[in-house]
Amino acid sequence: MPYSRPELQKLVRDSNLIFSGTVIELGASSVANLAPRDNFAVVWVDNPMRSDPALGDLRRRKITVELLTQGELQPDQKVIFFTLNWIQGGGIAAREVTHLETQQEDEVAAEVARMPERHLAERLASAILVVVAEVTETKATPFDVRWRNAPQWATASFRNVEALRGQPIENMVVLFPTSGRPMWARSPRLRKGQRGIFLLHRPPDWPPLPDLGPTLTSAVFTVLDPADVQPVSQRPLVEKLLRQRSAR
Amino acid sequence: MTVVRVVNTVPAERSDETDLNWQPSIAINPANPNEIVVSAYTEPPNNVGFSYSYDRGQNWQINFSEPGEQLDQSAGFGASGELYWTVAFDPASAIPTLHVLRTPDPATAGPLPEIDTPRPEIDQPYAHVFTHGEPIPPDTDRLYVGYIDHSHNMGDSAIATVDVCLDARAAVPVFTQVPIEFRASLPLDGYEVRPAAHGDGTVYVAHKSWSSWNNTTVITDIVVVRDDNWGADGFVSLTDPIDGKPGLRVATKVHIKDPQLLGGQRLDNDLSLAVDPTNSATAYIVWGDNAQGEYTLRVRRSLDRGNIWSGDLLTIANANLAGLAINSDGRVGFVYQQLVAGLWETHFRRTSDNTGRNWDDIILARTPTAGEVADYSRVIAVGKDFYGVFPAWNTPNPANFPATPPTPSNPNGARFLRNTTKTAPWQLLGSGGFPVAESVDPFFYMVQDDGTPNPPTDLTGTVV
Repeated sequence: MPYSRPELQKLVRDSNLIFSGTVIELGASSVANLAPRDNFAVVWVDNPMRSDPALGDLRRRKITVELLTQGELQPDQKVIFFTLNWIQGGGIAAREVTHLETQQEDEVAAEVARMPERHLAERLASAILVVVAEVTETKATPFDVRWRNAPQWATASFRNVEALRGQPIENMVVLFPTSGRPMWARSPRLRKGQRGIFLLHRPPDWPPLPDLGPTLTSAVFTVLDPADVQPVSQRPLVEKLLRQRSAR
Repeated sequence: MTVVRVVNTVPAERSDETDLNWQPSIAINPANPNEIVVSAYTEPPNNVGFSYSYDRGQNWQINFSEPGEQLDQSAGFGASGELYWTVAFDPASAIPTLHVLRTPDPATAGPLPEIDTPRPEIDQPYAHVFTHGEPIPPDTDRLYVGYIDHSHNMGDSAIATVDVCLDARAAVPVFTQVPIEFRASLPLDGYEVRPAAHGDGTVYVAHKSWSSWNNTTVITDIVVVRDDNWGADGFVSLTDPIDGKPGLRVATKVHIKDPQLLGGQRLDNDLSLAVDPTNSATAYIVWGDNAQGEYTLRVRRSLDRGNIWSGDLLTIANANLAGLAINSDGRVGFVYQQLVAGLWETHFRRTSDNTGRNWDDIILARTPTAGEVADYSRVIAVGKDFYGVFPAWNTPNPANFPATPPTPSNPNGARFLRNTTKTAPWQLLGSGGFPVAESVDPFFYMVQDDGTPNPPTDLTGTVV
């Protein structure tokens, strides 16, 4: 029974290693420090579809898969594996989430390719305001000593604000991290003169916000996710995704 | 004779990796030092994971276990081989939450069971495990997790805290949350809370009790608390002679420039303490401060259970990522990174006599600066040997690793598992054989102490 598109989307999102492959051997292991188990399958990767870039090109490499259920696969069988990373070193092992027939390979590949667009759609859905604007000024807030991993917020001011979703608020304050620590390294950095599409969100529960004086809480927004700042050239896509959402 | 080994822990399978492997820490199985775990930040979308070696650091694999994004983490081994892993992460929200996980099988562990109540709003968990030999087996693993707890006062303050578990291998371990700040700290306690236990039941914890911060400078006391009953009595065994409160102030009104950078690294995270396994009265401490202007690490010691502390036994200017450990001979190991001529030098030093003033010096690495790479590194002693991990820029140039000159089997000096060129130009290579951008990796090191009986002949380390 083929999986529906929503089911495929969930599988793609929940699996960080997806590939089509050929079962070479059952009950065996290709990992140096992982003894064979009955529920293992050594699989030859035919087509890697989603994987950690650190692994490079997985084509024609072996992966030991810990199967959910024994007896469903046979040697030489080709299937699409949805898995989670498990062991990398002395070989590669992964834990199965599920597997599908290879007839759905094109559909799975398409869903993987659509991940960035779906992520953008999710960020648009959670945004309070979506605006096209130009950054007129950025200003660091006082250093936050409370948390070693604090984002070290800066504020940005906008002008020529055009709303694509929501109603812009006068004197709104947009916060973005400046810390280079790993958890903030992927967040957008705003700069004076930058023009773009900004997906503005309510501040999360953590990290704590700086003291912004008399600013209304309702006027404070953040950009944290890499998708929260889009180039103006993405406007057609952003508008399409917003229309799709409002049509639901 | 001393054998030194330096190994880049990134496995060959991850040769295309360009992550910033932040916050490295290390744990060694004291009953089987072939088993080693190094934890460090791994970029999403991977699950949270740790590196594992089954052959004393020669080869490494990464085991991914939990969903989510890890912030800080550290691990400890019991002599039973049980691994305890403390990690601050949260898959559901962004609030840093302490999770204490364990497994008897770190080699192939998948998702790990959680053994303590998740504690939200904590910073910098630090695990210390001590296996206590009980009169009737099995032995028990004492687990101490130091952290600062922000869950009071809307997160605007933080209190140095230790979670104490006297039998971490129990089916349902019991943890007691023990605040160890007995004075008012403003605005918070320092980030480092460092427990160290001895086999006679003595447990020391070092922490920093801030008295002020004015946007450029922290003023803090360096405080040591002690408990003489495995941490079960609330860490009130050592009182300060001036104010009579628990927690002896080793130094008061210490000035630390924070925020200030040294070689791109933020200062103010260098507190470490070690207790002598041969004598619980002896403890060494190190911290960093700006008392003389430039940031300086200071090593001091107490020979009377923390009541009286020496003056500086060793000072190192322009250095950070300090760590201390004491081996089974009472010899002290001290690791730090020092900024010299624009490069980070990773030094490992050992006391050469009982004065605490004379130290040898092994330069493990000399690497470019790379911005903020970590708040801490760690060294551990098992028997007479020292094991540790440090973060460094990963250019595979043998000139970067002075203690381990190149050999035909290790042309890069340090042992690299990930693909590299074996002659100049020194480059990292991806799985396709093409150059890969350099980044910061965890480097494992082992310093096999003088006089270790029967040094393993299979080790590829260098004799110095």
